[in-house]
Amino acid sequence: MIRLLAAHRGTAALLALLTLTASLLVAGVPRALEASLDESAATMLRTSPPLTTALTVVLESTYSSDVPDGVEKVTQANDLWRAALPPNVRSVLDHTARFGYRTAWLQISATRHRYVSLAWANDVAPQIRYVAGKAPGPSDSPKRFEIALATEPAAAFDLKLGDTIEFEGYQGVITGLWEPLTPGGTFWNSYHSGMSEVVKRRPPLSEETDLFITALADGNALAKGKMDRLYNWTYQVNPTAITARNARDVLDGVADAGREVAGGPRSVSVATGLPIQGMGTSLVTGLDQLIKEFLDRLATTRALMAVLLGGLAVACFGTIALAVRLLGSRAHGSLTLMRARGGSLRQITVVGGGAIALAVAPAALVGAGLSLLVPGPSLPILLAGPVALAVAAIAYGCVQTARAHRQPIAESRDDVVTRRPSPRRIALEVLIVLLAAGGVQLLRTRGLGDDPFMMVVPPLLTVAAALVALRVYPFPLRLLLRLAARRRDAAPYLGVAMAARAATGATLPVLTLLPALAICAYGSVTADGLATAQRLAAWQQVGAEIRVQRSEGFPADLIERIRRTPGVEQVVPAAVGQTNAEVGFTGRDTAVVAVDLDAYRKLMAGSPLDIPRPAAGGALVSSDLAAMSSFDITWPERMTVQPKGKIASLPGVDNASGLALIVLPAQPKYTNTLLVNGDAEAVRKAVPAGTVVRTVEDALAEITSVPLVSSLVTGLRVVTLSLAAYALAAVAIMLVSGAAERARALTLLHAIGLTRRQAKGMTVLEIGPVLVLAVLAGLALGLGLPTLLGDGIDLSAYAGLPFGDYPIDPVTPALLAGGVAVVALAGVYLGGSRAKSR
Amino acid sequence: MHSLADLEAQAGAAKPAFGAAAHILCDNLVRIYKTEGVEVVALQGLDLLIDKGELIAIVGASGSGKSTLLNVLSGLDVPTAGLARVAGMDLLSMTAKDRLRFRRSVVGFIWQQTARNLLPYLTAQENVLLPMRLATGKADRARAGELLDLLGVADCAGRRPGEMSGGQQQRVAIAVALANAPEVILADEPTGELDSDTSEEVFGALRRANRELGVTTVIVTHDPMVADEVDRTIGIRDGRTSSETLRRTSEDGGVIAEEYAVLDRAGRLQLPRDFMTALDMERRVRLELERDHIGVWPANQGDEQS
Ligand SMILES: Nc1ncnc2c1ncn2[C@@H]1O[C@H](COP(=O)(O)OP(=O)(O)OP(=O)(O)O)[C@@H](O)[C@H]1O
Ligand SMILES: [Mg+2]
Repeated sequence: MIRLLAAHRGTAALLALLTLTASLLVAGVPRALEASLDESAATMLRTSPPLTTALTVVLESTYSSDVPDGVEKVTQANDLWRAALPPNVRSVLDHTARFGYRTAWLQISATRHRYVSLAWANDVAPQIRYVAGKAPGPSDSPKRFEIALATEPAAAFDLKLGDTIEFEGYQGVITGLWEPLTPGGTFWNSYHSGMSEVVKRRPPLSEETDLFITALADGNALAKGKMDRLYNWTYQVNPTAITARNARDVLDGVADAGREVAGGPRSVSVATGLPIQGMGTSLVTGLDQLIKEFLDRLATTRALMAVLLGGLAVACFGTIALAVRLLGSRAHGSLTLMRARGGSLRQITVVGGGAIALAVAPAALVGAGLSLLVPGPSLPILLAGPVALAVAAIAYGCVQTARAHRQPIAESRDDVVTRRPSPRRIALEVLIVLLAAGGVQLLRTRGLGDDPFMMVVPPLLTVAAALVALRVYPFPLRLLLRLAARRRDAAPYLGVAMAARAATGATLPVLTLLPALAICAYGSVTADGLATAQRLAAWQQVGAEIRVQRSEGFPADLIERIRRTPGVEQVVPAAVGQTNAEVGFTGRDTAVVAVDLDAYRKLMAGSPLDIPRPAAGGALVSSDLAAMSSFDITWPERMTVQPKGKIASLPGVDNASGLALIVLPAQPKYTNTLLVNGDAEAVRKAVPAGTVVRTVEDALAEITSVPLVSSLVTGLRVVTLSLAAYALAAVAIMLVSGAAERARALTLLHAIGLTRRQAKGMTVLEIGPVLVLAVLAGLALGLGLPTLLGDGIDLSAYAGLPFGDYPIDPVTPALLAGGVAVVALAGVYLGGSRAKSR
Repeated sequence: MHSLADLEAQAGAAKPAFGAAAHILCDNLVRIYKTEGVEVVALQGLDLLIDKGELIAIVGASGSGKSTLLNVLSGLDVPTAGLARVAGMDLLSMTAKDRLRFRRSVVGFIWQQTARNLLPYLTAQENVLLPMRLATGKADRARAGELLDLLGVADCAGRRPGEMSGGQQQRVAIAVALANAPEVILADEPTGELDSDTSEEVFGALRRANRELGVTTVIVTHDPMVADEVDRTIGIRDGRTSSETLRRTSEDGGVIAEEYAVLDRAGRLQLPRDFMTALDMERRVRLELERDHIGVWPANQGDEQS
């Protein structure tokens, strides 16, 4: 077996190499992808407000008689709550203990709009330093407390050490003044926001601002007090503990925890990061929402990668199968001899399959091993790819050997034998095509989701397309043959005739090449589309190459100065803001842009965005205002607007959240925004401090730097290029497989006067049709896949824009496929001359 | 004169065990290749009897079915109809398992192409051991050495086919064929690729195997030298045995070769083509039974018009 392999070490090495790279890709790409998914989960958790990701058990004393009556009880409860959380949640929490309680906001007597809340938290003491007095001690009366204030609110409320404040029948004696050890940071900004400073809040419709301060009190004293208290036990999530794999589990756990704790998880106020109060005990968290969003993105990414990896697997397996077949044909003579010399079919299969196993198994192992070097989580399931690949290759090798040597007959006259398609095979092909068609229909209606069958559909579709192409292929070939027959030169005819003869052998190459190229084209279309969409989204966000904003506005001389700055090409001043359109009783909140649309159009020429033309003698308004003949607005100046045209949106203006839009097509008197073309650095230097300069590049960098996006794009590129490489390898193997026979034919033809050039041409004509078929069909399918899959894969999460509304750009995939074809044909052409010299 | 019915009755009732004693027996053997609607009848009712220990040659024009016959006899190919028995085993009714056993221990086979007989990456000795390994899993090195010795290629034991001459390769191939002590050796043009001296060596080796091991040996050949040196040469034409040449040594030491036409059990006879052309025989002839022979005359004009 080993010697059989050694005798064909070239082919065996090729097989091993193909298996190795295939295993590496099949195991490595998902691994890297999982890693980036995990990374993105961690980033999401790290960048979200800590209280949003944390689980907080909230207990309101108003609604519960069973409240902890002191620090000891609260501390015990902390462990109890933690133990009550479902294990799948508990396992992603870190071990920080964070709990406390505070009273409701109590109005300070003899003041208006001033409130205080007494609080105790287990983790505050180590974070503060008393600048005067000491920490509050126990109180002698349930109506009177010792309290400590941070210096800032104390100063703001003009309170000193020893002062007493009264609030709703209680008294607080200030025994200490403190400062945070390290101001800022999550501790003061998130967990204990508002504790070290005055919180200002203006209630709706109110003219005056309410001021809130927090006073620290002794825990036991506060717990025994009579006021209503809000207890909280906060459990922080360890950002790296939630991964792409356990996210769903954690989500379920959070739901369970919510049910466990009370009536279900409550949400967190986005504005304050504080829980929206519920009844009795409840679980407050934003984690479930975050995980849900993450899971959506995860599903999309996985679906897309599944399509690509499915294609990759088909291509890898096809190429490996080609190599297996090549090895089989190389070893055919030896095995035939063994069979004739008394080898049983089993022995021969073991030898043939064993040789293949010997080449494939270690390679798959090494490939899988190498994939472990790719940073990413170690998942046993990822090894399934290489194992499946190796097993499939070995199985194919065994079947191949067994079929070739079922009859021990020495001679097989395959030149006479043209196999007629067996009914079983036709039935199988029809089944595959039907399955693929049905699958696509399902996919379009249901989306890819997590359904394993759905994931198989795209590769299945490519295989089905290959089968159809193979059935159709003889017809154009026959036409070509007829055309070639008309020429006086015999070489083309012979070439095409050889192609026709090779048609039966073309099945596996086409089955490999077409899916590879289709998915390759699909991958590159997707990557391009994604890039385009991201670019477009960046432009949409910024609305110009450079957007310069200044809340104080730009005086005319400043605009002039910026305009004259070297490096600045064009400047279009604009006023962008919000106002209330005076329609109906309440009016309509609307975004307003005043800009010279003609100048703006000129500025944006060459960008991917279209700026609408101005309407003569009036404004462009969103459709909900378009019915009015005129209405008044107060910003940028008091004026009457006369709608003359409709506009849905304007780049750089956020009216997505239900705002109406008014575009005043004239240069504004008041300017707060400059739309600029030119060198961003020059602009940055020219503007005064406090001015915000944002470029399309900035926005794009923001969009693309999200870990998931960048790794998705890398994954797309890696898979796309690998597919192209595999397609080339498939062609090369196809070329090598037929080399011996071709060489024989060509030698013969040389003997009767075929020139070298004709020989080359003939070889190209022999291989060319299959290649062209596979490339064209693959390309067409790849370009059609986004349409066929429809909303099955929605990448809007990546682009920040609905994806797929953009025309498919066939240039890159066509270049890719064309490149493969050209390289392959060049190889064939040169190979054709080599066959001669042999 | 006997009536046709009489003849048939006689034929049917005659010796119930036709060729029962023969080591190789073919009776009315037919092999039809079917490819894409076209049928090629490679063997069309071939009869053949070979005794144990015989050394015979089979000759015939290209495409006459010699290789097909040998493939059938070696159990590599299955005949379409007829009877074929080798060493008491019926080749038509054999199960796949029997067939495998048959190939392993009953027949040995040598092909024309020297390269096809041996695995290029094994040494001569390993090549000889291969059939043993395949058959029993055991490798009898001593026996391999003996066989190589017997065939005069003991010095090649450690060499690979590429390092041997064509004649040496073929002799190793004979050793391989003999590895499992078969009862029959079938050689399909074993000297076809060799020059006459080397052919002589290879044929000598085959004859030695035949004499010393008592193996029934069938050689397909185009080589007149080989054909002249065996006891019996069987000619095949169009898929059936047409002639037999028997050789015996006369009293004065010269070899007397007598050529016979083969008469099958149904009484069919093939006339040599040159006889037929010489007398312009076509489609039908007139037969006349004489006391000790049968006369064959071309049909005359009058006959043809009737
Ligand atoms: N596998 C096959 N399929 C179809 N026809 C075949 C096959 N093998 C042999 N034949 C045909 O059967 C006939 C006998 O072939 P065979 O190889 O037995 O001839 P041969 O006597 O060995 O000729 P040669 O001396 O050239 O080797 C030929 O007409 C040949 O074309
Ligand atoms: Mg032959």
